[in-house]
Amino acid sequence: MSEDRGERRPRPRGGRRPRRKVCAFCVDKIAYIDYKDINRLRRFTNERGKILPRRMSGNCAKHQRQLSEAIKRARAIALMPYTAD
Amino acid sequence: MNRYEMIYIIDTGLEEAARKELIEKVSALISANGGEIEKVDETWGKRRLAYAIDYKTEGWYVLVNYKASAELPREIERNLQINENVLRYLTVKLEEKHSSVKPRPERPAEPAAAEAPAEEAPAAEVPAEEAAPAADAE
Repeated sequence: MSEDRGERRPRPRGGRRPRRKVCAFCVDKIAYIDYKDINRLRRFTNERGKILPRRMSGNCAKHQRQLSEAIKRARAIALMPYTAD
Repeated sequence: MNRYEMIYIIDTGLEEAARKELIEKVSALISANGGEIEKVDETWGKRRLAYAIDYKTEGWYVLVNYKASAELPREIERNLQINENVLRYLTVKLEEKHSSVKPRPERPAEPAAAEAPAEEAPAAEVPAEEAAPAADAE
């Protein structure tokens, strides 16, 4: 069992796996995502104002939780839209 | 005492004098109930709302930081709710996280005392940089 543990599995054929994104907040070493920082928050919503999922933003779980909280706060105080259209 | 950050939106239909008075009134209410105002930030001023509130597309944003016991925010919000010139408000409790660097947990005294001092010296210097993200919002 222990022998093949560390070994990398060969890539599945054909499908090009996209490079794993790293969390933008971890890179910038942000401990608290401020709901007032709408320029930053806006990058994590699509043009309709929806929060991007982790698989698109590449955020870590911890920061994604904080981010969604911050965006929801910003929405409540009309800094960001609930919906655009 | 907890630290709170409150943001509220005043109707832009209110003229300047009345607006000043309202902001004063809110500040007075906080300090009268045992709160301690740290900062009143009006630099946000008039902003377009992301969506219309009561058919209004603009609002005057005021940001207040204060220290108070846990019961006070409820009282302040009750008063803002009554005032019809206040379109929206939001109170957030500021956590220690705001200082951007978490305090390091104390290391338990390890039996391997010979190695410990050599490791701790560089480690202590690490959490020094980083500006508080709370301050940079316009």
